[in-house]
Amino acid sequence: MLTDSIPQALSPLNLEKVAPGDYAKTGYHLEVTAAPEQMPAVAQAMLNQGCFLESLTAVHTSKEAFTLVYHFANFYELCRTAVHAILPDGAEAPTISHIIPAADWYEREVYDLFGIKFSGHPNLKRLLLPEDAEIHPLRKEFAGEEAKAEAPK
Amino acid sequence: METKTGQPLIHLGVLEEALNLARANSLWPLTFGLACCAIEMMAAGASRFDLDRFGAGVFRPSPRQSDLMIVAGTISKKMAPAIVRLWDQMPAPKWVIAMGNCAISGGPFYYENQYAIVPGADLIIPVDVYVPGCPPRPEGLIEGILMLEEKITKRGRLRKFRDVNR
Repeated sequence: MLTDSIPQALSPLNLEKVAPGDYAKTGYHLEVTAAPEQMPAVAQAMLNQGCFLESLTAVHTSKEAFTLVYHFANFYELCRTAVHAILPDGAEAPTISHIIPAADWYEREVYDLFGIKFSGHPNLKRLLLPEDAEIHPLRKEFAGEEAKAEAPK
Repeated sequence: METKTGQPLIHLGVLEEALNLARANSLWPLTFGLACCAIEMMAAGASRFDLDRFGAGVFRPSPRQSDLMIVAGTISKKMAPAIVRLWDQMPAPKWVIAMGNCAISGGPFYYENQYAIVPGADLIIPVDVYVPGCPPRPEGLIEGILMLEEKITKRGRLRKFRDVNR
């Protein structure tokens, strides 16, 4: 059972929280909270358990901090894991793209929309917006006026 | 026409008319779709609606071989430079149909202070015919192509029939 083996695999990492989740309510069997610096180790542990990265995104939770959200799932067994990592504004999160290549574009998307930098990323440039854009539209302070400056040609 | 093709040194009216007739009846569209309108464009090219009846079913995969650009879908700011480049690569004489509300004005994706889309194909390339709809039905696109034929030949192929019906 992955719901048992994943907490076992994560236990040496001393994560802030590894708790079973209410699957019926949240859709996740495991709720994990980690520090951003621990994410490469967490990703490696999840990969060793045969889990793949389902999605990676961020939430601008407050003026001071973002929450990075990593979702993992498994091909053979229904076990979905949500990993949350709280990142102070302006700090860099280490990339996990060298461990899970699927994270490469997700991290570019997060950088594009939130302006969060992933240290060690091989090609951290904008994914969705034009490469010369100067906005990060999903940040709380983005009101839209900034976009006016980039009017269509 | 003149603005796009440039004024010829010698103007042979009858020859020009014959050429325009040929151009109007063999519009080769560029194969590219930006969003869901492209599905209707494909349907228009397939057997039920059959754009080949009007000589416009030969979708070309290269801008060098096309003379009609059907802008079928939302133009994101990321895509806009690519569209302009494709348009520049097409040999004159060439025409543009803006298909669907997104290509006309941004459609449902336009709002004040939006940051993602170009609200209207005519902001980046010169549009000849606008086909409204979300998306327009294949008949709508065919109507647009017939309008374009009228614009090219200044006569059109269906005017006679339309006048009779009125």
